[in-house]
Amino acid sequence: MAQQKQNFTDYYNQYKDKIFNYFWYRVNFNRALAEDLTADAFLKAFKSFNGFDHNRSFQSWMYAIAKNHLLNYYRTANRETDLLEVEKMGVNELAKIENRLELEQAFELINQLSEYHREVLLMRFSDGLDNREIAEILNKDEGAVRTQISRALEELRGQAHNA
Amino acid sequence: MNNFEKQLNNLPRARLSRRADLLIRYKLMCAGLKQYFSGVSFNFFAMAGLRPVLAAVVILVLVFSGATSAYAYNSSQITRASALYPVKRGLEKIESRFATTPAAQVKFHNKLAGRRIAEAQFLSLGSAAFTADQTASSTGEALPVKLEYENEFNDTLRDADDEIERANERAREIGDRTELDRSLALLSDAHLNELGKIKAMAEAVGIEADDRTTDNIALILENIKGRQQRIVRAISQFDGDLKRAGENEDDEDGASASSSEKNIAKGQSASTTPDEAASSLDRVRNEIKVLESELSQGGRISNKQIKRLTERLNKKINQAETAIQAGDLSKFNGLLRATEALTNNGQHFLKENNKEEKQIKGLPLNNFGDKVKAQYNLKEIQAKLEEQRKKQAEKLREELKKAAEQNQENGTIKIDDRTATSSVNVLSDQKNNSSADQTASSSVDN
Repeated sequence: MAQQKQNFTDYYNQYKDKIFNYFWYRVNFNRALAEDLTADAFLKAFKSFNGFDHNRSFQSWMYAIAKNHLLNYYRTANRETDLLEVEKMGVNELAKIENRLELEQAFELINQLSEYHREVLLMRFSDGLDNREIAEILNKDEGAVRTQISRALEELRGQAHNA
Repeated sequence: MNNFEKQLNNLPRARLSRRADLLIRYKLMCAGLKQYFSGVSFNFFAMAGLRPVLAAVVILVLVFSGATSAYAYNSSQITRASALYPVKRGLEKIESRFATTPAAQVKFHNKLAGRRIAEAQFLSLGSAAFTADQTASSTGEALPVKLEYENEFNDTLRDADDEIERANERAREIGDRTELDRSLALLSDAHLNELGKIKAMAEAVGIEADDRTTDNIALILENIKGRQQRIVRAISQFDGDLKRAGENEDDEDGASASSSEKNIAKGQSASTTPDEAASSLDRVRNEIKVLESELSQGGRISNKQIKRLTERLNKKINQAETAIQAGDLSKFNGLLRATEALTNNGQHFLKENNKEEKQIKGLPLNNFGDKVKAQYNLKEIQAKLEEQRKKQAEKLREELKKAAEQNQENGTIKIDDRTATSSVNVLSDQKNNSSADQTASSSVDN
């Protein structure tokens, strides 16, 4: 058990910022809320760690837990259908903080994408995951993810052109 | 916006704050502990309803352990064999860390020596009360004293001697003149104080006690007297150094201290050849004869006690002679030193006629067999011994002062006012300590 706990600490050290970043982008850049959700997600992971298959990727397992936890949070807060609105608010908030017009425009464009395209793009660019990792998390084929990202970018370009 | 992909690649990355990181680690640790203890049938974490009770128990335990530690630290009744003795020594060890300068260490080791002597005194008093009971309930004559806690007593006395020696060693490390002056005065007062206590202890134990006990007491008396003489010489030397240094002011800093240091060093030398040993043996034999004749005069001491003392001394001399014939110089030196110590201090083990019987009559006669009940008359005995100690300490102090004054007239020694003042302070401290002991003993009685 001590060995497993040690391993979990290693994993925690490795992924804590990534998971926090994941929540941060999805909860209106609310740092306090993102920290709470990160803590809850890691606690859930710790409790289930005995059943974790070490042949699998810890990252995809952890992202799956984070995603489920985020959905639960939205569901509890009756906000699962307000994701778009939240993210719009997030863009405004970020614009206030960063004062970067182009970034705001990019977020506005991303928020206009379909939910699936938006998720893969955020995973790819905000969470810094590669196609294989995204495929593992979303339980999809890597080629399919690559295609979806490509299509999402194409859609984004189209919107940028129209804007 | 052509460069939006570049913008996407440059999206800001946030990091978990330090505070949140620590909080998560703490939560994970708690979860880990909870998981670890979940296999144990008695689950602390499941006892949410009992938390106030647990908190009260923890507070009680803390308060109790604090009070126990304070009692252990302050009481001279907590001796080597007591369960609380490690607590006492542990607290003293912690206290030692606060004594950072040699002067503070001199003071600290003196304090510890006083505490060890108080413990030994308690052990010897318990034995005295026990013996008194046995004596009074049987023939009315003195029976051989056997210390109930002989090993404990001897070890405690040796600890006391070690602490006194450590105090002397620390004094040798002092470079500052003023500090050295103060420390030597403190040492001198402490020695007088300790001498008084141990003489009282010797009387409580008596000459009928076993060899090891009387030897130990006699040796520690001899050691303290030797150290006291060296301190007096050091003060004398120090004073002479000061006068010489007055001409050169600060040029000789440390020189006076170092010359005084030499005087604190041990001065006794052992015999190294059979001729020297034979001459030492003759000298001690003569000393024994002188002592015997002195004690026989006036009839204050019973012949039985004098006979017992001289028998023991002669037995030791014979053993020493055998050792030198066998060529064992080291054994000879040990035996000779013990014999000399007992010869020089033998009178402290002897009781004057009628004095002992009066003391015995003052004590209850039954149930003195155990240590706790031996404390029953501790206050009375302590008060009596305290009085004796004060008289003896005062007498010694006067003698020391007279000797110093005489030497001063000859231009060799001067004990300044600080020495005298600190003597009075030490005596008053001793009085306070004694009151504290009495309070502790009365709480035990209750």
